[in-house]
Amino acid sequence: MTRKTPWGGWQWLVPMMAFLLIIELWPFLVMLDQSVHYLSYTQPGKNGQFIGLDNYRKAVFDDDLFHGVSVTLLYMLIALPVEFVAGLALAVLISYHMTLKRIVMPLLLIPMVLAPVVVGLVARLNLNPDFGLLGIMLRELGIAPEGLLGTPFNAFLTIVAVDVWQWTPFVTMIFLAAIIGMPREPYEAAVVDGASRWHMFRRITLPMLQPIIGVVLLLRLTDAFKVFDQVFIMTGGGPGAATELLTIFAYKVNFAYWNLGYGSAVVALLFFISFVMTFTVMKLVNRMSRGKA
Amino acid sequence: MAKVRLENVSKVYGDVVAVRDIDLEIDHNEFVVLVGPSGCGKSTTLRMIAGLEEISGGSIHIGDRVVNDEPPRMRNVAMVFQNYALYPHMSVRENLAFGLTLARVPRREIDLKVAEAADILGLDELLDRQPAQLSGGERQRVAMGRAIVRHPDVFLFDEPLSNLDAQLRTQMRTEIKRLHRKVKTTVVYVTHDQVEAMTLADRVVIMRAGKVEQIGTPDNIFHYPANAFVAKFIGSPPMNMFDAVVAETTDGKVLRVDSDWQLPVPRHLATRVEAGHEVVIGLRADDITPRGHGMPPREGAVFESAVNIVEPLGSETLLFVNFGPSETIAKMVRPRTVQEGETLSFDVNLEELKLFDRSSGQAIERTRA
Repeated sequence: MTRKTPWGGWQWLVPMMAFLLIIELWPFLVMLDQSVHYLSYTQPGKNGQFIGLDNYRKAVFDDDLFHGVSVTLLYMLIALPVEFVAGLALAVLISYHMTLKRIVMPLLLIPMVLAPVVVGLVARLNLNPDFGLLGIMLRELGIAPEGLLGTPFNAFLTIVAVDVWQWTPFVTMIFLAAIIGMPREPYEAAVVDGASRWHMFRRITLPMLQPIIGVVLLLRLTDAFKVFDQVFIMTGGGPGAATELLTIFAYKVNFAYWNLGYGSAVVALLFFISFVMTFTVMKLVNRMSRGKA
Repeated sequence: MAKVRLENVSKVYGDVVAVRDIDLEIDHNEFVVLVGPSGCGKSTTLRMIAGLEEISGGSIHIGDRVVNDEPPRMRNVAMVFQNYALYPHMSVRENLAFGLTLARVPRREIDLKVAEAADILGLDELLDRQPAQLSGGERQRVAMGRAIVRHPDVFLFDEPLSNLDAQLRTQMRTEIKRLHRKVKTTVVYVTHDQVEAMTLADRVVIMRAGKVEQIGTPDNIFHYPANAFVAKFIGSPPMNMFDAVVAETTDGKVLRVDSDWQLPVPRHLATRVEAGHEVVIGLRADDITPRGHGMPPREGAVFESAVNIVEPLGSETLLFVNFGPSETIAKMVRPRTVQEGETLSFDVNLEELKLFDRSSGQAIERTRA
């Protein structure tokens, strides 16, 4: 089987690569180019002027951008652990009662198949204190008279809660699939060895899940970092800037203030942060699963 | 070290009876093998002793306790599984120590016991390896080590050698036997391989369709099978079986296979059967031998046949020959080269001929000499 492929087969890759270059790389390069030029609708006279790294310098010292980073990190720091713990607990629980699976699985799928915009709209309408079902109930109970999205603290907790609501099932499903796929014998051996359910979870299930945990962590980190639509619909970043995630900040700079030069620099930084984060976690995950060949 | 007693134990899954009223008493340090074709309930029985399956009826005693409702960890049994069931994320050392850690045995004592087990099984070099880095035989030894360290009252083996290749299986078989001599514990061992059962067991329990067919020493079961199923299941090649009817002739009673093929009823069975009795004749290959190979039997019959198939095994050769209307396997010890198609005379050793009642399958008991 040593039939020679002319040009080593590269010609088959050309269309796809060209496609990717045009729709991915080209806009990215345009963005980088914009980020080192002045481009804004507030001072059109200076547009197109080369200003080097001025935009980046400005971004690094921008309190609003720093605020966006903080909000995003806090968002992930609360949402992801909750999703992991709840998702894992649910998965283990369902695995003990496999008859539940048929009922629970479709329920779990619902939030996952909804578009983020829909999730945002449903949450926003339901939570409205004047005509939303949940909102009215909460108002009548005196829990959140101004609506859950009406105060900075509540609004932040709410967007985190919605993320948890939407993504815990995803974590559950992947963990459940992994648990179901595990060999049964080690558990039987452990039962005979004298292990309780907690021991089995702690000493067998959890270690055997480790590689999967790494992958899910990676997926959820990258996903949570770039959350935009549902939060934008629910709060638009408010009240004040309480829910102004980095992505919403970037959107505002570009398409609310039309400061495209500076906006490009912000997006480039966003890209850089997400790249470094993903890369680091990926290395960590790889090392973790390699340790357990 | 404990007696194990099963009283009327049964297991029912919905409408299916997997195990039906088993009675079995296993002595201190006895090595008992449950053997039978797949689906006969032997593994289910073992798992009920372990506590991995609940019992549907009867009671199980370990030592002087009734353990029916005790969870596995209270029973002080250890189990070795067919596919080893090692904890894949733990080193060999951690695998061995797992049960002891759960029991909160002090660290020093654990190290001691692990070292002891590793020594018995020759695992010292492998203690820091992961299961994935071990061969099948090594994994099986770790699985046994995991059982040994706990000094259980009863060892349970569930087809532990089935996943090994033939050569390794023979080798591990001897190791298991040696291990039993060393650690002296009650063993219940499940296999579908009758050779394993015969070589390892103090006593063999033969099961079929959830019921015990016979319990006895390997010798006893081989020579005095209780019924046609046991006779056919134990021994290799399987016992030759022919349908026959007892008939009275001027020369005495004969076993008529068809109109022109018959054998005399051997003396040890003569008073047990009457004319017209429908029986099954059982003859092992060892008792159908070519003339001149081995001693001629004291009580025998002779027939001639062409050889259809020759299967040389080295120290002996199996010959497929015509025996009246059917084919039978004969055995030639100290064999010479035999051509297919060659005609030979054969001695039938009537002293070892078995008879089974055709409708019940039960052995027709011989008269005591």
